[in-house]
Amino acid sequence: MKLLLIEDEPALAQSIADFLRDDGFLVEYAPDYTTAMGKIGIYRYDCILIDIMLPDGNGLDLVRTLRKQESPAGILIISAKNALDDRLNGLELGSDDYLTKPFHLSELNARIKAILRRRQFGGNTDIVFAEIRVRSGERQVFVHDKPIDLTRKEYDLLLFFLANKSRVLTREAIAEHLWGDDADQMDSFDFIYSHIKNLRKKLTEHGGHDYLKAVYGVGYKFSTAP
Amino acid sequence: MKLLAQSNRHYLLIYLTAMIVSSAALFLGVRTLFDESTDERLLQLQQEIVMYVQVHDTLPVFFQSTSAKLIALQSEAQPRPYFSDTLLFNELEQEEEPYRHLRFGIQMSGAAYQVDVFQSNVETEDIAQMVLLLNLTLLLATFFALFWVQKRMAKRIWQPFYDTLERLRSFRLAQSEPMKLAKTDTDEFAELNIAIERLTEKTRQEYHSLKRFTENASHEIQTPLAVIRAKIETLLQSNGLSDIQMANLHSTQQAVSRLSRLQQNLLLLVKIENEQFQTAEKVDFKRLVASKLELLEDFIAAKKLRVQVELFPVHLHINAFLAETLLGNLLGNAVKHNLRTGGWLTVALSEHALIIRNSGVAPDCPAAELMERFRQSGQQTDGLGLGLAIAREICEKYGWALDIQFEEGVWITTVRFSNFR
Repeated sequence: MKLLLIEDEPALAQSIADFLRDDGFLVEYAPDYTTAMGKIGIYRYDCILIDIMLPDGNGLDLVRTLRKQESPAGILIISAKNALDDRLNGLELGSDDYLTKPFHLSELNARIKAILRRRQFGGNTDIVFAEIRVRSGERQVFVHDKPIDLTRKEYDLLLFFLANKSRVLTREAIAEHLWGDDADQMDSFDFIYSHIKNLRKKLTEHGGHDYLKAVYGVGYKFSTAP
Repeated sequence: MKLLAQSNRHYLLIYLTAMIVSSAALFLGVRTLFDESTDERLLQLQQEIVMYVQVHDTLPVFFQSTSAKLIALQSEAQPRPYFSDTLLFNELEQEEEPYRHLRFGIQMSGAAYQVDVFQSNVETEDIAQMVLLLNLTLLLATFFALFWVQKRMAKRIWQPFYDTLERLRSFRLAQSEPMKLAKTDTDEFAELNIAIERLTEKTRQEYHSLKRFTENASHEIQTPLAVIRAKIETLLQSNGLSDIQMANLHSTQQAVSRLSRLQQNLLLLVKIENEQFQTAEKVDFKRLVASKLELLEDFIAAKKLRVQVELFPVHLHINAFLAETLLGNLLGNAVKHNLRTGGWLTVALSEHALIIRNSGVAPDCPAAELMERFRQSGQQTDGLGLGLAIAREICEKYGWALDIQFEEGVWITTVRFSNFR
């Protein structure tokens, strides 16, 4: 999978690129509008991450160009502006998603994977890890090919873990993924604990391994080493 | 009081005084003039009578006219001639009429006589009164004519002023175009318009640059925060960190998140204050309340809260994002600051008000003070203390009243929609 990262802040771009490369993505980097425009003209990408405020142009123009070219690439806008207008503009122009800075890298990773699934397989793809299989189109989960019944939050949680295997996910990152902006209003960590407990129970009940490991005082990790 | 009315009041006073003084002067002047000529006529008569008596030694007999009368009485004394005013009965007119009267002494047939001659004054009075009346009528007519003309002219002359006033009323700092005022030929108004245009344009530009600054500052702060956050997250993924190192990284991460949220919320407050949420649409409050409660269902379930809702369909004209923020904050508070377990929550929505009641712990300050920025009740430390301040700001923007009370273990949050549509 080939990604183009358009971001003018080199330190942030470096972290994002490293994180995504670790997940097996091929990441190219454009620090400004002109470079990005050049790369878009020549190469094809599966997903493009665009910062709206660039030193020599507006990222929204890039979205416009891409959609005019009927590029099949998924587009994710990352911006420090959480102004509603920008968000709506971005989505209306044809970006697939919008993420406000500062964000969790794990969240970015999960969003990119969701976009790729939607774009490339029309959403009808199976995510398989060992004995766990997720049919993302129907939001259905199988363990050893037996369907298991998960609540919406448990399903979201499982997908978030599967997108970020072997990574430490902080409680804040999980809370924001599950509850979005409302997360910061709540003392939500107890709820995360109970959701994880239930998810773990449902997976192991059907003969699955216990992949969900607590990282003391920080959060959780989907450990691939059983 | 209008400027015109003020000047008119002064004019009226001056005019009335002038009218009274000039009329009185005119009246007295005319009378004095006529009295003098009457007196001269009486003196003439006296001369004629004296000469007639010297020749004929008897009184003349022509004194039958109504305008002059002669009465002679024998008397001891020889009075010095003197004038006076008197009233005599006119047989023809059957009424008393004013006469000028001259009394003098005369020697006739060796005896002393006192002679009274009268000259009618009735015409003098009539003329003086007519002059007075004419004068008053003329002055009054002039006054009303002037008044009318001035009123008409003032309306025309002051039109540019009222135009300017109207433009000023509709002026908003947030507007993107400079304020343009109509051209006027009146120098004073033209100068005023130039001054106003300069002032508003300067303020408008300052406002816009401040707005840009706030937004840019926000952007500039978010970017380093994003870098810090990304770097910490990368560090968290590295192997071989001790528990303590992990915990330290995690608290740093939390502090960064808090800083970022704080900054975003403050920016939101500033934006509401600066009237930067101009767009408005019809928002279905019933649906919005229901969907917000759905988002909170995890927290409601975990706290085992009993929820009761009574929602009437209400549509309000409001910015959609602000509506979501308002309801999110208020309902979020009702859940968050509820009892740890087994509490309750009711939401009642009508076209007049949204009333949220919930069980909870007593605050350690008056409930209304919690709407101040950064004001929180004692034990809570994880919140930012801006949620209610933002809710209040949103309510104020739309002229609604936000009220928070705590009574006997119950929190009552009320939003009164005064201008429901």
